[in-house]
Amino acid sequence: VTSAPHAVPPARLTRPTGGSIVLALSGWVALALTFLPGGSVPRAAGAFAFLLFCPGAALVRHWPDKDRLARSVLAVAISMALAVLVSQGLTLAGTTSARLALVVLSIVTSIAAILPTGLGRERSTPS
Amino acid sequence: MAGPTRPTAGEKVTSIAPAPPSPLDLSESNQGGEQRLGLCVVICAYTEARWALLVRAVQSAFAQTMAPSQVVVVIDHCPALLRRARQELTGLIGPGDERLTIIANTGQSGLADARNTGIGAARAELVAFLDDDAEADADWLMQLGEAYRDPAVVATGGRVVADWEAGRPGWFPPEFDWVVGCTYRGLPEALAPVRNVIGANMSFRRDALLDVGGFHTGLGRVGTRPLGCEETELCIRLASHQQGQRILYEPAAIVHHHVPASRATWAYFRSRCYAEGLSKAKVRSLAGAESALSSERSYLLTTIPRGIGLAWQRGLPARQSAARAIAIVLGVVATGLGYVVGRIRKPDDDTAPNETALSRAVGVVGVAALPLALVLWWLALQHVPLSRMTDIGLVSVLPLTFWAALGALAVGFAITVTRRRSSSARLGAYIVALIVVLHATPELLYGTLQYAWAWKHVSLINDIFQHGRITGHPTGQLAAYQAWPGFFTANSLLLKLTGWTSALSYASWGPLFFNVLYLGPLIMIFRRFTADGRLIWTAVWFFYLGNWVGQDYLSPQAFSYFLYLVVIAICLRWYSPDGIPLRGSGTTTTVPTLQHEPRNRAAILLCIAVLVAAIACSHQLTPFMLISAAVVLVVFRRSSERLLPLVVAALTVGWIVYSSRGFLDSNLHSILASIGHPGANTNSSFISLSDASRGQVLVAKVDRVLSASLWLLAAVGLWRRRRNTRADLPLLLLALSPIPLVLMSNYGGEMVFRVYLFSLPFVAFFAAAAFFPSAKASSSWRWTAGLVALSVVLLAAFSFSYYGDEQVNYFTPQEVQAGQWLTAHAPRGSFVVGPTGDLPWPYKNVQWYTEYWFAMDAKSSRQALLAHPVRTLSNDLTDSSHKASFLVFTRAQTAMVNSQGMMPAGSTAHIEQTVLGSGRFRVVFHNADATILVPARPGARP
Repeated sequence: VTSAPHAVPPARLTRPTGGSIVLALSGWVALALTFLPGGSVPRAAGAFAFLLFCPGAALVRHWPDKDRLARSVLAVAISMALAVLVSQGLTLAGTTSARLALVVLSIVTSIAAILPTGLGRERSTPS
Repeated sequence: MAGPTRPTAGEKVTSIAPAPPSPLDLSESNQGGEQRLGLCVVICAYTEARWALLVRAVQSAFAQTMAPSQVVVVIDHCPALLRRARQELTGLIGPGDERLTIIANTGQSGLADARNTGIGAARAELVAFLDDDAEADADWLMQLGEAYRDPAVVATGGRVVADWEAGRPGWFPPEFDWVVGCTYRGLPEALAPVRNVIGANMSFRRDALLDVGGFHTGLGRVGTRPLGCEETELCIRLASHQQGQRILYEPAAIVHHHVPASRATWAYFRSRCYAEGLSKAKVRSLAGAESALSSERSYLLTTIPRGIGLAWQRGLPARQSAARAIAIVLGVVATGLGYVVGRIRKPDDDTAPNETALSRAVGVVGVAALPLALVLWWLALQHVPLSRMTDIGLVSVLPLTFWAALGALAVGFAITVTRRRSSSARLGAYIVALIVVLHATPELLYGTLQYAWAWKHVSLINDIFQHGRITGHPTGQLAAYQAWPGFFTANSLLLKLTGWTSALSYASWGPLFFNVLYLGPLIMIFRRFTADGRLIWTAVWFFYLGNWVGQDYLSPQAFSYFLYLVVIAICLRWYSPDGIPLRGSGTTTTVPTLQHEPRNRAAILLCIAVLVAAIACSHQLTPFMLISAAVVLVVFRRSSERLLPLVVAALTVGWIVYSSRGFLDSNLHSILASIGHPGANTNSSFISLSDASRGQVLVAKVDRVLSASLWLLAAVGLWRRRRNTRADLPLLLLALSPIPLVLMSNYGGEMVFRVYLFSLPFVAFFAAAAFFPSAKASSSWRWTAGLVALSVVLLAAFSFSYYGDEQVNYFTPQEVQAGQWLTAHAPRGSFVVGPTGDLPWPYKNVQWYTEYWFAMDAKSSRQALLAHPVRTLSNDLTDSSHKASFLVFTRAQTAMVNSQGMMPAGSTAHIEQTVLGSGRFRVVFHNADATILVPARPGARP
């Protein structure tokens, strides 16, 4: 019952990771893209990618389950649900500004992406 | 080193002390406020022959400077050993020492499940494994535990020193000490990251083990063949599971491993090297070449040449040096040979390791069928004469190549799924290809948006886009949209951000988009109930073959159905009272969830609340389906979260009270009237077959047969999985949970279809279970052939059901032009009359029109119209108080009237001709597929 363990490069431990920085910035990039001409490919791609994935992906970092599939599915589902709730909430509040909705979602995304995940990481070492 | 077990037929573990109910059921550990802290040592044993060694191992585990919080001895299917251990070990350690747990392996026999059982019984945060023939140094645990101060470390292994029973043979090269399960020359001399640890001396974070599903049962020693590598494969999975997780080697944590004389032989050396090659091939097929062989490359290129050199330099007798060098070379050759054989053999099927040429050829078909299907499909799309479509829809014009593509998919999928160890990626590719072929075909052929409803949804999105809300008078269907606008509002946000001006830009990709989206939660749900990939993927396959009801276009239903599936997947995984099943360790093993930790509980509930809130403000029916599902799960104690139905109901009712009261006020009467008339509610969903065209009768019959077949197949599957009934209960309940809603509302005649849709995922699971009820179920060619045959039949039936109404659902570019003309020229307050509402409305004002569809009116009105079309229509159009009136005839309307038998065949053409010839109407728009008329008399307008 053996096999050869061998030295591998030490894993990177720095946080936040590149992924979370990208997530934190994603909403603001999508916001910047809305100043491009309507219907341009980067603008449309940015809008779809952000609304369908990013807010959920940032929040899912704090989900207590590391299963990749579950995390991806939740990222999409939560993103879509938040798009509904934020747009509907703002409509009920009497405003229909898409950029305002994007700012709200971007703030949520940035905070969730930057906050340390913490879960399961502060456990005591054996004693 | 714990090794293989040879269970005899009928062997049964006699329970002496209470053992856990299932290998990894840790429910005990979460009760009574016990905390998982400290370190647990797991020792697996399978034979009484090594009793003395086992006693030494256990004693050494208790004699640590850093005492373990628990020592678990797992007896692998050996009742005699279990009895002896329970009688004697307790006495040795000291009666009353509750740290010692002796249990039987409740999984399959073998080291992997024995270890999984140990993980299940562990009540500590860290789990260390010691072989039953090994003895640990006193500071072993302390050295291992030290490394975990770094939170990124998930596993630590230590040094395993060979304790040769008969002395080390002179020829045995230290570079090959791994042959006897020990640390070999070439490993780091100080604490260092490694790819994997050694089985005889290793430790893990228990949560990390649970996250990746424990040890893989397909590896390890089986029978007399000393395979292995299960810890390598586990470590590869651990490392790839989350970026940044580290596995360390701490040479100061020392264990002495007994090496019996029988293993210090050439025969064992050769056989073990060969087996290592076989195992490496298997690990490679599971983990990929890069991770499986990364260490071996450097071992081969550095350690081995150096070893050959050292054999000559150490001042050994020349004969011994030569023997060592030869042993090294032979070891490398034997391992390489094993690897090559393992790669060629491609052990897709554990039960038939010796593949015949025939089965290999079948495997090639499984691989080649996918690209073949896609090529055939592409060819099929090149020439489809849409204008020749009849009342059986697309089926009437799809060329042979399309059917060949579906056949190739069915054959390829069935072959791939029945071969054990087929990669999920390949099966996933088949499913995605199926979705693309079934749901991209209409979009690619038409170039226009299908479904009148989809056009309506696009216009509502555009309306919110322009006005911030759905304008128009809150009556009828429009009131429902105004009461549940969430999906449309979100789409208008998307529209604004993209800078497009109409949702028409993306609406036609709706079916493809939503069907791909369903894949994720479906797999999550199925994986909760089985580790058998064949069952999971076949269930997914059946779901797509059965999803013919056409509720997957750009609609609140398609959107909220996705969220519904996700909520169900979360509930099944996190609220299971039995815990989460561990993958790769049989079908019955479970571990408790982290659901009881307050922070997790809050996070899960909050997540569900967000999803349910989005559903509640988007769709009127789905929240009630969800309430029904939540209620049955809680009532039958299949959900540990009792608040679930309350949360769903509160959000649903809260939204209705807040926003939708107007709709309920005006519709409450009809909803109440339909309650208690289940017959009416079920019958109203089907078209009246007595009037419909022959093609539509056929389509409707195929619908019913397809739906009924899946339910029947599910009944067979339920019976074949009868041993799992308790574990499967949530699926059964969820399959039945939508049914009560039939009694409550007819939902515009749609309810039976919606109930079918919401039951479908769970029905599909049981339908697949008819083929693969358990991991042990046969995968023989008969099942492959059966699955191919059934898939072909279901694909044909699906095509009839799903594409059967396409003559009505498809709009030609000419019809779209007519719709554009109408909405551009008909002012708000216009009166639009036509046979049916089956129109592509790319309109701005549709919610401000009054519509009258004469073919859908009461029978007496239809008869009056047929008798005197000119007089009736002219009265209708001129006596109104509307701003303007329009009479519309289109191809799709006529197709709908004829296929559903709303009026005798040819009626609309007759009415149109009569009206045209009467001189009382003026043609304002005309093309090949549409005519729009207005009353000729100027006095028509008030």
